[in-house]
Amino acid sequence: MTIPWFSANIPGPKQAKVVTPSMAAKIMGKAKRKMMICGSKIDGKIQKHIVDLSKEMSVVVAPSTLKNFSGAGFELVAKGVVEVTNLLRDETWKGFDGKGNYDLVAYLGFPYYLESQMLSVLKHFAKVKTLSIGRFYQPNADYSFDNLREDEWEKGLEDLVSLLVGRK
Amino acid sequence: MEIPVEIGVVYEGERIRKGEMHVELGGPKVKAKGELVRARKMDEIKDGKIEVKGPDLSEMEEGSRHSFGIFVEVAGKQVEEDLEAVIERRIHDYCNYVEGFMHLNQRYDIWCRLSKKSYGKGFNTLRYLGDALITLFKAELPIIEKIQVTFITDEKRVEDFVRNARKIYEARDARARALSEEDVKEFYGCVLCQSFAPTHVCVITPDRISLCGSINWFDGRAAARVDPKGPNFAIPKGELIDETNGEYSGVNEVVRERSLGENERFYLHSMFSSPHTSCGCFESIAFYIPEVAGIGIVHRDYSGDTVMGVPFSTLATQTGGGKQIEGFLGMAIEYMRSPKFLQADGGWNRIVWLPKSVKERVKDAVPGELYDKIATEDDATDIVALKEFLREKGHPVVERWVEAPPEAIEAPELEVMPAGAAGGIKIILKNAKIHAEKVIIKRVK
Amino acid sequence: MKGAGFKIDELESDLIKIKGLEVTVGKFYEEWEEVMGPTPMPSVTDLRGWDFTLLNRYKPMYAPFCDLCCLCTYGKCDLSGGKKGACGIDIGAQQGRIVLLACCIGAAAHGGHARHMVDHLIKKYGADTPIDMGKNVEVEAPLIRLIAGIKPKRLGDLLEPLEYAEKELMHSLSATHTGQEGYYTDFESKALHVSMVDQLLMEIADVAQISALGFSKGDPDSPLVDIGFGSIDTKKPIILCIGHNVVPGAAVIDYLQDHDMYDDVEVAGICCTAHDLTRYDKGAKIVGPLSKQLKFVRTGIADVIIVDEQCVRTDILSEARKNDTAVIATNDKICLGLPDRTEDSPEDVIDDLVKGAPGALILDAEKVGEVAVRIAIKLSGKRKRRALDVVKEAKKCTQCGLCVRECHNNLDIPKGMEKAAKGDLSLLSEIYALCMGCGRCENVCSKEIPIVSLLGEAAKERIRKERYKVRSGRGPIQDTEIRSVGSPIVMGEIPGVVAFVGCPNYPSSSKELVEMAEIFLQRRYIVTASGCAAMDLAMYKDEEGKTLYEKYPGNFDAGCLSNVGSCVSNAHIAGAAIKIASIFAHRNLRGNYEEIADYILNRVGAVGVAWGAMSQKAASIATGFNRLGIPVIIGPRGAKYRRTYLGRADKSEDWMVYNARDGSRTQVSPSPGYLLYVAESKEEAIVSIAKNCIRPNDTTKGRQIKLAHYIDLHKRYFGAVPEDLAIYIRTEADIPITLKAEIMDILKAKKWKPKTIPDPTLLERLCRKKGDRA
Ligand code: SF4
Ligand code: SF4
Ligand code: SF4
Ligand SMILES: [Zn+2]
Repeated sequence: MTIPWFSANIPGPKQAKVVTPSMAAKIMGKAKRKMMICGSKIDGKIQKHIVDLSKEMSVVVAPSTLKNFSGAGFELVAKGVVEVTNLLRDETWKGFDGKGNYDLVAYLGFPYYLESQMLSVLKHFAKVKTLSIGRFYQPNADYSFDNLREDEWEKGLEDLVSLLVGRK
Repeated sequence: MEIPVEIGVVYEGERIRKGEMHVELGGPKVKAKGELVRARKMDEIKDGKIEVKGPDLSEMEEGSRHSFGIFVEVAGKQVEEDLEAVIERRIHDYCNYVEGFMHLNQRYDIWCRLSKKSYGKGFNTLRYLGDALITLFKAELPIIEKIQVTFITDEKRVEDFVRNARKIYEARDARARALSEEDVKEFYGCVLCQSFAPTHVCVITPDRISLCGSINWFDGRAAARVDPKGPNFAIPKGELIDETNGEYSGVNEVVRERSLGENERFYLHSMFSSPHTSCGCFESIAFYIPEVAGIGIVHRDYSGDTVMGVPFSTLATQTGGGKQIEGFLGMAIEYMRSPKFLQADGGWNRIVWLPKSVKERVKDAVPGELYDKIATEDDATDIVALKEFLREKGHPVVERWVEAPPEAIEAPELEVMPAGAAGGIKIILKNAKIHAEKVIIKRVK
Repeated sequence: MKGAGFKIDELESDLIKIKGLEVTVGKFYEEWEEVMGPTPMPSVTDLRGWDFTLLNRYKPMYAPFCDLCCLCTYGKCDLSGGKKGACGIDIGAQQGRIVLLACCIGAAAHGGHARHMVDHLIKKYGADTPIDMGKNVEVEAPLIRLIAGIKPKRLGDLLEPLEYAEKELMHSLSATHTGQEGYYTDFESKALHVSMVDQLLMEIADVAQISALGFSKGDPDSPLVDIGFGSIDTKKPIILCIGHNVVPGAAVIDYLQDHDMYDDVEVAGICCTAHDLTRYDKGAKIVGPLSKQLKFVRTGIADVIIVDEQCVRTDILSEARKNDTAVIATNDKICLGLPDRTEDSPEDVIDDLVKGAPGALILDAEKVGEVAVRIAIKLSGKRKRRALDVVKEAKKCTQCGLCVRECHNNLDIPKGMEKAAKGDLSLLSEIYALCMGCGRCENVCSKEIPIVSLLGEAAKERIRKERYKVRSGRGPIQDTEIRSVGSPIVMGEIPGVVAFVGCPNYPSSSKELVEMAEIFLQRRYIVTASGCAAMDLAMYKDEEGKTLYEKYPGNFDAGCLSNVGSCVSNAHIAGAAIKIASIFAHRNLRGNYEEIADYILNRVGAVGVAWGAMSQKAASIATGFNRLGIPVIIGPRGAKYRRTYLGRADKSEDWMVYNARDGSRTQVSPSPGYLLYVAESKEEAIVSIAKNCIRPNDTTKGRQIKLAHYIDLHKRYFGAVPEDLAIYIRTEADIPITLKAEIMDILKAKKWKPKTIPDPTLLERLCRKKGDRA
C-alpha cells in the first residue's frame, strides 16, 4: 500500500486508489461534469497544462494566481479552495455555469496538508469523485497519483494532458 | 486625458519624504501659497478649463520648491458662497487621493509634494492634478455643474492671489461667526452615528456644531444639498417654541421621527429637562454638580480625575446611546465658543470647572471677568475645594446658593425595609427552609 | 460579602406563624445600577438559540483529519462512507465532538492559568486588592460584566465568575463522553459556549495580573522592549522562562531586584510568559515566539530554564540535558517526572542541580526565584556546551529525503546538507529562517543528524542580528480611545480593525505576517496584536532598520499598532468590541450576551487573523470570537482544525436581517461572509480581511472606504475588480468616488438595484415596532 507523503497522514482504511496518468485520463474522460481546482502553487510549467485542460473542463484557480492567467484565453473562476469545496458538498448547487453540481473534481497545486483536508471534506460529505494529480499521494482522494519524483510527475502531467486533449 | 498615476482613497495615508520628492509646492520654505474656492455664476466660467500660470511641473528642477496657488471656481444652481469653505476643504482630500501627490494643511498654509516615482510615471503637468480634481469634485458633489481650475506657480502671481484670498477667508470667517439660528431657515441633522447608536440624532445649527466636532452648519448644508436623503439632511426650523432653551417645533418633529419615537423634544442649549442626546463620539462632556449648582466640563483627552473624583471615562458612561440624560451633555469643544452656549442654564456664568488645557483653548470665548473664576485641576480636585474656590473668587453661581442652598446628597445607607403592607393576611410557614443563592441589596429611594 | 442565615424555630404573631424556618443566603451583592440582562452566567443551553442563528448562516464545513474514532473500547470505529460508530455517532457529529474537545482543552488551559493566577495573587496580595484597569478604562472587565453579570471590584470578586467558568467547562467536556451529545450543531453550540467561557477566563487571568502585578493599564506608550536572540547578553548568566504563567518569572525578577543583581543576570522568555515578563518589568527580554523554543534551547545559551505552563516542549528536559542546562518545573501542569523539591531548602536543591541533577519541581514561586538565580550564577560559563561541526555532520547525509517528507514546510534540507558538506552553509541558514522548529525532521533522519542544531549553527550570523523592538503589552484598550475612533469610523476615515493573534505555525516565513500587518497599517486600519503573533510582527526591520512597533504608534487608532499582550490579553480585543456597544449605543452589558454579540456581528468591522494558529487554545480563542460575532481568518494549516464556518454569499435567503426600526426583513450584503475561514495564501488572506470588515450597518461613507480598499487590494493581488462587487453596493453613495464611472458600468451590466440600509439585527425581540412609542 502506498504510504501518504506525510507518513502520519493515514486517515483510515478507506484510502485513495493509486492511478497512473493514463488511468487518470480515462477517469476524467468518462466524467460528464468535471472540474479542475488549482491552488496557489502553480508555476509556469504547470500553468500551460491547465490552460490545455481548460478545453476539456471547467477550471477554478486560486485568486492569488489569477493575474498569471490573464490573457490565457479562457473563462476561469477564481475562488478560495475552501469556498469551492464548500459549494461542492451542496448537491443542489448549480455549478459555476448554472448546469448543476459536478461529478468529478481534480485538485492540483496545493500545499499537501490543505489539499488533504479539502479532499477529506468531499470524501465524507459529498457525492463528487475526487482525483489528486499533485506530486504526492493523497489518501483522502478517490484516486490519486503516487508519490512521484519531480521529473516523473512532470511527465505524468504531460501524458495526462495529451491523452485527454489529444483524444478529441 | 489619461492620468498616468492611480487615483484612489487608498493613497490618502501616503507620506512623501524629502528623499522621495520630485518637487515641493508651497510648504514652510516658500512665502506664497494658498488655495481658494469661489462660487461663480453659471456663465462666468468654462467647465473643465485648466490653466497653469507660471512654470509647470516639467519645467521645475528636481528637488526644487515653488510658490503655489490652487484656485477652483465652481458654479451650479445650488452652489452658493456659503458652501465655498466646505468645497475648499475637499481639495485636501482629493489631492491626497492622487498617487504620489501629498497635500497638507489648508488655506494660506498648504504644503504639497510630488513624488519622484509619480513624476517618473509621466505625471509631468499640473493639468493632471486639475483633471483629477475636476473629476472628483463632480463625482462627489453633483451640485457642481461647472468647474474650472487654475494653478499658479509664478511667485509674484501667487502673492497677489494669496493677498486676495486672505480677504475672502476673513470675510467668510466673519460671516460664520455672525451667523446665528435666527438668520437661517434650516438646520441640519446628522444620523451617521445611527450605525452604532440607532436612536441618536445630531442637530446642527449655526450656533451648535455636531457633538463630534466634525460637522458644522455649512458642512451640513453642503452634504444635505448633495444627497438630501443621505445621513445629513435639512431640518426646517419651524416655530421657535422657547428661545432660551432653544426649542424649535421643526427640530422636535425631526427628532421624534429620527429617534424612532425614543425622544420627543430637544432643547438645543440646555442640559436639563430635554437635553440633546449623544452617541459616544462627543469631544467633551458637561456635567451638573449639584453641590455647587454649577456645571463642569471635561474633554476626552484629559486623563486625570475631574473635580467629581472620577475621570472623563466614568462621567462619559452616564450618557450615550441616543438617550436623554438630564445633567449630562456630550458636546464639541467648539460649542463652547457659541454665543448660545448652554444659554438656558446660564452659559459661562454657570461653568465652574474645566481642565486647564481646554480653558486655554477656548480662552477667547470665556467672558473676561469670568476667566479666573472658573476652576481647573490646579484649583480644585474635589467638591469641598471647589466650593471654597468659587466662594473666594465670587463666581456667579454663588448667588444661586443663597436662593436654594445646595445640599450634598448623601448616599443613603443600606436600609432594611420593614416588611409592611401584609396587613390582614396570615402566613403560616412550617419547617420551611429558604435559601437564596444571591441576595441583591438595593438602595431604597 | 459572605453568606449569612438565620433560624426561627417557632414564632407566632397576629400576622404570621412560623415553625422551623431557616433562611440562608449564599451571597450578598452590592447594587449595580445596570439592569440584569436575560443570561447572567448562561448555562450550556441558554445561548443555544443564538448559536443556531449563527450556525444557520455560517454552516460548519468539516474536514475530518482522521476517519476513525478511538475514544472507547468499542473502537476503533471507522466512520467513513456513512458508517456509524458502535455508539451511533456519525462522522459529522464526531468532528463537532473533536472540535468541542479542542475548545475544552483550550479553555481548560486558560482556566487552569486563571485559577492559579487568581489564587496566587489573592494569597499574596489579598482578596481585597482592587481591580484597577487605569483611569481611562471605566468598563474594567467587559467580558465578566457581559457573561457573568458581575462588576468585579476586587480580586476576590473574580472567584465567582471563575467558579462559574469551571462549572461550564465541566458540563461542556462531559458532552464529549461516549453516548452523550449526538448531533453536530449541538456539539458546535457547546464548542461556542465553552469558547465564550474561555474568553471569560482569559479576562479573569489578565485583569488579575494587571491589577496586582502593576502591568500597563492600557498605556498606548508602553515601553519598547528588546526581542530576538541577538538581544540576549550571553556574557551574563541567563535564565530562560518558557510558557504562559508569569508568576515564577516575576519572582526571579523580584529576587534579583531585592538582591541588587538585576543588572548582572539576564531574564528572558519564550512565548507569552515573555510578554508578561516585560509587562512586569521592561528590563526583561523576549527571545521570541514558540517557534524559537527548540532552536534557542539547542544553542545552550540558557543556564537555567524555568517552565511554567502551556506550549512548552514536552521533551524540554532531554533537550536541556544536551547542554547541561538546568530545568525547573514550577506548575502542576508540567512536572516532567522531576522530584518535588518544594519543601527542600534552596541550598540542597541548588547543590543537586549544580552537581548535575537534570532538574527540580518547585511549586513555590519565591523559592523558584531564589533557586533559579543562584544556580544560573553558579552554572554560568561552567557548563559544557557541545561543539558542532556542521560540515562534518552534513557529510553524513545520504540524501534519503526522509526529512523533507516529514517537514511541515517541505524545506529542502537534503539540498542544504549537500551544499554544507562542501562548506557552503548559506542554504541551511536560509532554511533556518523558514523552519518552525518542530524537530520532526530529526526524528526520521536515517543518519541521526541533529538537523535543528545544524541549522542554528549555520545561521549563527543571522541569529546575532536578530535584535528588534516590540512594544510591551499594554493591556486593555482605553474607553476614550474607542470614543475617539467612533467619528472617523462613521465618517469613512477608518476602514476597520484587524487583530493579528495566535501561534507561529505559519505556512511559510513569518515575514508574511509583517507584510500583512503593514498593508493595513499603511491603509490606516486599526491594527492590534497579541501573543506570538505580536512578537513576530516585531521581528523584521525595514530598510531604515525599524520594526513596525517603531514605525507605528501603540494606540488603538487608525494606522496604529497596539500590542495588547499575551494570549490571555486577547480578552481585551474582544473587550474593545464589546465596549463599542456600551459606549455608543449605551447597550447594557450585564448578562446580555446575545444582544451584544448581535450588535458586534452586524456593526463592528473587526477581523481576527490567526495566520499560524496551532494550539487548542487558538481553537477556543477563534471560536470564542466567533460566538461574539467576530470573523477569524486562519492560515492554511488551520484546515487541520477540521472545521470552518462558512457563509454562502450566493444564497440570498441566508442574509436576511430584521430592520430594528420597523421589524421588517431586509437582505444585507453577505458580510462578514465567514466566521472562520481558511485562506490558502497571504494574498487571499489580505483581500479577505478587507472584505470581511464590511458590516450591514456601515454608513455610506464607511462603506465607500471599505470597498475602496477591498477593490484596490483585489486589483493589486488578484489583478481584477472583484466579481462580487455589486452585492456590496446598497446605494450609489456606497461607491468610492474615485471609481464611480467604472463601477456604475459594472452595476448597470448586473442590473443592480438600490437597497435599503437597515438598522440590522438577527434578533426579532430587538425590533421596535414603528410608531408604538411615538
Ligand atoms: S466513542 Fe463511539 S465512535 Fe468512538 S470508538 Fe467508541 S463507539 Fe466508536
Ligand atoms: S524542525 Fe524545521 S526543518 Fe525540521 S521538520 Fe520542523 S520545520 Fe522542518
Ligand atoms: S533524513 Fe537525514 S540523511 Fe536523509 S536527507 Fe534528511 S538529513 Fe539527509
Ligand atoms: Zn457619534
